[in-house]
Amino acid sequence: MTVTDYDVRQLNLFDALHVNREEPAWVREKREAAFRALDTLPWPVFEKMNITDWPWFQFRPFVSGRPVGSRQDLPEAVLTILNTFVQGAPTVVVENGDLIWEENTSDLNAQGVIVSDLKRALIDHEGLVKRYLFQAVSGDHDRLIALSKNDRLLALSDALWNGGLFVYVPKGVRLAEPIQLILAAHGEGTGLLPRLVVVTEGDSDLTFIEHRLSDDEMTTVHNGVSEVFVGSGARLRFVSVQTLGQKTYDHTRRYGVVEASGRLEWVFGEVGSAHSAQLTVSNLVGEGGSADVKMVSIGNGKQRNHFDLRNRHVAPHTESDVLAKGILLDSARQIYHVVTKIEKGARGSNGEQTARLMMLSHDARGDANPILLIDEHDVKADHAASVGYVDETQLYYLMTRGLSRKEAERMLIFGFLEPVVSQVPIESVQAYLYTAMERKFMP
Amino acid sequence: MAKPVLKIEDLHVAIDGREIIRGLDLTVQGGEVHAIMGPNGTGKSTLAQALMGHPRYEVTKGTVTLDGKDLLAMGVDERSRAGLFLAMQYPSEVSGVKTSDFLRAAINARRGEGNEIPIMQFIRKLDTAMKTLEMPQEMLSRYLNEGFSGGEKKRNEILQMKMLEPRIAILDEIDSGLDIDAIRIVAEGVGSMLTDEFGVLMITHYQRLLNYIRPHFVHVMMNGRIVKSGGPELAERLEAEGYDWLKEELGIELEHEETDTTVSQEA
Ligand SMILES: Nc1ncnc2c1ncn2[C@@H]1O[C@H](COP(=O)(O)OP(=O)(O)OP(=O)(O)O)[C@@H](O)[C@H]1O
Ligand SMILES: [Mg+2]
Repeated sequence: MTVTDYDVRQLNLFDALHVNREEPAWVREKREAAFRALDTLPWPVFEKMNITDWPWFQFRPFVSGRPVGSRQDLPEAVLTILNTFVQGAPTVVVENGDLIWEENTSDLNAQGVIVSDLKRALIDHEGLVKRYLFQAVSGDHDRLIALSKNDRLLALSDALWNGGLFVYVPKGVRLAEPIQLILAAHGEGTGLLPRLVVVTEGDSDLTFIEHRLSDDEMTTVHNGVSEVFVGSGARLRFVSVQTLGQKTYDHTRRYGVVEASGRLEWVFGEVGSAHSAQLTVSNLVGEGGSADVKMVSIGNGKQRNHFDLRNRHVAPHTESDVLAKGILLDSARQIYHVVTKIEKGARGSNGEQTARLMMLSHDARGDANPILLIDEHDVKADHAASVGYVDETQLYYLMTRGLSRKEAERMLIFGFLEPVVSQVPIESVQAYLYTAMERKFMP
Repeated sequence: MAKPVLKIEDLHVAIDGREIIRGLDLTVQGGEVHAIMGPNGTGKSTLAQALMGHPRYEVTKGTVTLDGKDLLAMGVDERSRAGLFLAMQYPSEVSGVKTSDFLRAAINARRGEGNEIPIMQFIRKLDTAMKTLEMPQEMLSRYLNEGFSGGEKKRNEILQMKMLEPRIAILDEIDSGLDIDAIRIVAEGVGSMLTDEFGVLMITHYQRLLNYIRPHFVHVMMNGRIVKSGGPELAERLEAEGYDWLKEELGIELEHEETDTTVSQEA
């Protein structure tokens, strides 16, 4: 059997789990229920792109990572990224389903901070993990009802997730250094299905950086679900960079729950080559909480990306802001679907969003759909969206000074992205984003 | 290096199929300052843009060479690297691109890979040019022309010219929008570059600029042609009397008569 005609729905889940893990019963029950529902649940709705014919179920599940003895033994691609990270800061590397490397993490224990392989955390800190795992997505508290219902790609993660990370920052702990994660797929046909849980308790402060990658030459399915909890008065900067390869199909879900006066700052750099269907939801459930999204993306070749960004205001005086910019080359297709939803009772709230797409080819196609759903009178909401070609007059102006068309385009692209990239909290990550985008633009 | 020579012969230029330049001959050499004057809409900017290679301006006939090389066969960026410079009447605003980054990229584009300008040398050169033009340092960290006042944009054009050291520069109404002091500063900035290796073609409506950079030749354009050429005294007479006497003398009717066909007094 070749990998591509293997369908995970044919799996004997009981056997697979029996071999692979010791998990609490509630986790196993969740897996089994989700697995049974795979074919009956609806597809997630990505409005302007049909993703139902992507090979979401064609992958090898529960593939292990390869442990390494030293940093130098890490795969080259991983090491390259590791070197762009903040050196000396706590960092872990997950390959496929396993944590294969960690450095500088032991210093965190003294402060009560937990950075643990999720499977491990389910054993070591079961009670704590249970309070959060699956809860931002489908917790039954009515504050947490997400903007999306259950669907088969989410269920696929619930059933077959493999590896991931649990990060916990206790009350009042303010970390000066970021916690960093590299998530790498390895092997032809591998399914990379991580679950990530990041918890920042009241008045804590954390910058979390993750980088997800897969090989350009390997068929891969990435189905990653992250759940992020920002406690009262806490601040979390969540930076996610993806350089998934061109034979990867990516389904990414991120759910944030922000308590009173908490602040969640998402930064997304979608600079890889995968076909993507992504949904990020921030639930502002506590008074005075805020969510901020900064995002850049670049698509080339026949790449298809659907980015769905949603901010949901539940509590009064909550704020959200989205600034997303995308570049489209060749015959890339890119959709930004940005939803600001202000629920009844969220008075005094303010939701803003901007999505701009720049196309450098007449075969490319971009869509920016701003959507405001407002059920409360006393609020402010604003949106701006644009899709257009690179400005010929500006290009000409730059070229009259001797820049080739390509160089001039590059300047305009970087200029277009600069207001977003310059706000990425770590400078080496900014530089990395530019390099990654440059590689796509000038291969 | 030899004197630069820009040679225009029987040039015809059309925009959207409409002929704007209709047979124009002009030669500009290193060490020379040429002024082109003429009523609004007679094709002065069209000439400038066509020489630079703007894609909307179609050369339908004629030849242009720079130092003997066929300028019209070159792309816009090649013309620049060959030594042609155009200070535009309406410079573009480019958000997100810092003026200093842009200038460095432009300089390096002509120096070529592996021969990039050392950063300190770049900074010194920029510093000197900025001082000459009395431009504040903070302008460098702003985005290219974004939110610049009209006069600031014009200074920025001259700054770019000084940094790029072209062989032939076309200055399209570099004096419009400049205050009285700025005209002098900018004119001195241009004048200080005048050597045998640098020639200037200035498009202007006003005598004032010519007080600071004395032209060797003054040409009057009407209906897409140079209809009269002379020395500095021609510009003085136009300033004093307008274009009517010339139209009468030559028996010319302007085809696209616009609201302001005389030289107005306000700058
Ligand atoms: N991009 C364009 N599209 C259409 N028409 C144009 C364009 N550029 C110039 N024209 C027309 O060509 C003619 C010459 O314009 P041009 O800008 O060359 O005049 P000018 O001599 O520079 O005038 P001014 O003194 O007002 O700057 C005008 O009728 C103008 O409307
Ligand atoms: Mg003009």
